[in-house]
Amino acid sequence: MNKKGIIVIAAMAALLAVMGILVGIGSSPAKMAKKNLTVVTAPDQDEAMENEQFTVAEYISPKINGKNVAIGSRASANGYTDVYPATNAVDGRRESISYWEGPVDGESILTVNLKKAYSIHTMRVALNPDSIWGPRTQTMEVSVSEDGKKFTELIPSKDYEFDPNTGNEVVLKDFKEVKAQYVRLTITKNTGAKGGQVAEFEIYSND
Amino acid sequence: MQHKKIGRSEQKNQVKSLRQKQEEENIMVKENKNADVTSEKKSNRQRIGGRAGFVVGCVLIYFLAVGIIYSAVKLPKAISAMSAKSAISKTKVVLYDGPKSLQDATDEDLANVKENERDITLKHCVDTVVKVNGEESYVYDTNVNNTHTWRTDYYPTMERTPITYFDFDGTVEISVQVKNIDIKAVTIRPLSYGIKPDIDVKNHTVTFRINKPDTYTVEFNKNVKRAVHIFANEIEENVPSRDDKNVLYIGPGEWNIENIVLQDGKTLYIAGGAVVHGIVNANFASNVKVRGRGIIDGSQIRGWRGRTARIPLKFDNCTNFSVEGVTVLNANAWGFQAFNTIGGKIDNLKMITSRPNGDGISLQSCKSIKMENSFIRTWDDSLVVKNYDANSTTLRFKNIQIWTDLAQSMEIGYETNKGKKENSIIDDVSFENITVLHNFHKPVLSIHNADDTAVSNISYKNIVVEDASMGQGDGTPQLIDLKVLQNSTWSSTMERGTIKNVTIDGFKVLYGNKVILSAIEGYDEEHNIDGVTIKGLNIKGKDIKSFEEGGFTIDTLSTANLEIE
Repeated sequence: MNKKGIIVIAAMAALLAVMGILVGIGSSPAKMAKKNLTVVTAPDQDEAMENEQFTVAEYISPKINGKNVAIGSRASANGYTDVYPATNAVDGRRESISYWEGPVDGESILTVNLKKAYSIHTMRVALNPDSIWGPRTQTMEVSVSEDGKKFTELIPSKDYEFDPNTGNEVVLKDFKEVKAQYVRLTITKNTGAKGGQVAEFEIYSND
Repeated sequence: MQHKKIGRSEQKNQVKSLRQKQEEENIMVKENKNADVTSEKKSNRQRIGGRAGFVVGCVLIYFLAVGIIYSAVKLPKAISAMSAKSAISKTKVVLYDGPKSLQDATDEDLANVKENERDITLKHCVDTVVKVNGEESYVYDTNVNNTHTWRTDYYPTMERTPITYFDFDGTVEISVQVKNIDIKAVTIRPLSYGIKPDIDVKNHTVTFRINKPDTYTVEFNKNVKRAVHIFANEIEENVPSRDDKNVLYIGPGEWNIENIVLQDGKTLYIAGGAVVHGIVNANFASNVKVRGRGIIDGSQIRGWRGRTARIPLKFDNCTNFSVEGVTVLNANAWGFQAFNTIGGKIDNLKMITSRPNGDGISLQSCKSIKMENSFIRTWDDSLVVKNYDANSTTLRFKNIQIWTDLAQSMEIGYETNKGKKENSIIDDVSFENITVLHNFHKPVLSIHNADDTAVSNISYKNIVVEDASMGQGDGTPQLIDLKVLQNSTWSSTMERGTIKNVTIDGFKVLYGNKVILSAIEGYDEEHNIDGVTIKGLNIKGKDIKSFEEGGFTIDTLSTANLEIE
């Protein structure tokens, strides 16, 4: 072999080496600069936990003296939405879909016929306490009647806050005990729905 | 001429002289020969090893040439890889560890059974390893439903599939190792990226690079089972502060939060690495946001079975909501609902449903909603528009990947006036740049006006169907299905409606059924379909220039102004 042959071999070897290095570099695993990598780590947990932002103190609904005489009464309304008729408001159940929702347009008027006159000292308007309901404000007034025709204002119109964190209920007792067979709840505004909503309208009497 | 006489002794001398010359010449020749031999020897020494060296040299040259040719073949790819490596070295990546409390998925967890026959809670996937630029990305095992038949008992069988997510900016090399699969073929969707991965059969691994944030789905051996969904997000910007009083901030980890109710102006931030078992709900609220990279998971809630749907993302009677970046898994019914809502944006939402009535995005009587850059895989309609109350108008779906295991991919209907409103309309709805990865059951594109609504100005642009396998299970075979009809299950009104001005501009089917059918049928001459223009319909490589060629069934009495070009 002469010099030329050696030079050819050397050149080929050099070329192969360069190509081999390039191919080798190309085939090696891709690496990124560590400074460009962020790993968001997880906290130590053995099981799913409650998140403190969303935990609320247990709410105990206040006990009201007397008997809820609305249960078993006759409830009627000026209308209802979808599958939520007035009778749901006096069936003793707040959960699930047992609630009354008034008509989409205008006032929502719920009238309860207690079947006989009672001395009424407190009332409670309750919504489903499930947190999925979310807080809302309802503008409500209450009037009463002995004959179901002529109603007298008992509690003037006022905004009431309903919040699942506090039972989603409102207790009405700022009135003088009154004797009535008919109690009418009128809701003129609801920030949580188009119509007024009542899961239970409780009317308390010591009779 | 004079001749010189020569004597005998002179002749002898001449002969002697000639002999001497001859001998001298002989000696010189001999010396020259000796010199040549010496030179040859010297030359042989220079060729290193003589003839053997020559052979060795030839062999060397042969192998070097083979090596060079081999390298030359590999070189373009290597240079390309080097270029990519250069890009990779500059790439920013954010990886999110999954909750430490999630259990590893066992073989039992992966069984194809009904939800009441096994634990369906979200698991940590261990048979699939995904690496991003060599760093491991946490893989979840979530439920999917590969059946295509409605179950009246609400208990279809479900399997699981791996998903992972990360954020990046630049180029990343992704490797997916599937320990229990012998890889014979790999499909990476969307096919439009033309990704040809490197396959390492021995190590059950595929490797490929991406440089655009999107969802990438890796399927093995031409089978959808254990398809790996990779949610490659953009890097988050303007992450809200934990200290902002209008922000509800949920950090990484596994959290039980039954209900999250958003009120006016609130932002719920679910950080990457967080899994929230619960639902998010807004009612009569304005300017509410849900964002982050975390997961909202409903796997701990029993399937709704027609009773209580716990919708992971629900915006009823709202104005201006936004959803960005989160992933929704395992809804107990449908995954997203907006009802009577005006103004909203959905961006980079990833969703997989597997249980009955698992619709994806259900817009009910909404106005001005825009959805884009999202991935929706569902076991019922993927994108659906209905009228449950008020009118639906100005709805935009853009840059969305869909995978529909059951029902339709893009559906308007059937309930087009469930609220029985007067003069009900669904108007100005558009679908643009939609890629349907798989559509197994019912039509890809459908308007089913089953009430008395006037449906008008519906447009579809740049629709690509990678797999049009309609008609599986108890499905129907149509690709496109436009109908005014009365339906015993879904119709609410006695009167029938109309469909007017439907435009399909660019609709490509890449693969799918051998025979592809479509239908355009009004109800009667009055309740008809008036004005359908189809351009750029291509089915499996064939440009469709006539309704007959496209396999359309057309009711001529109840349709008018139909064009295909």
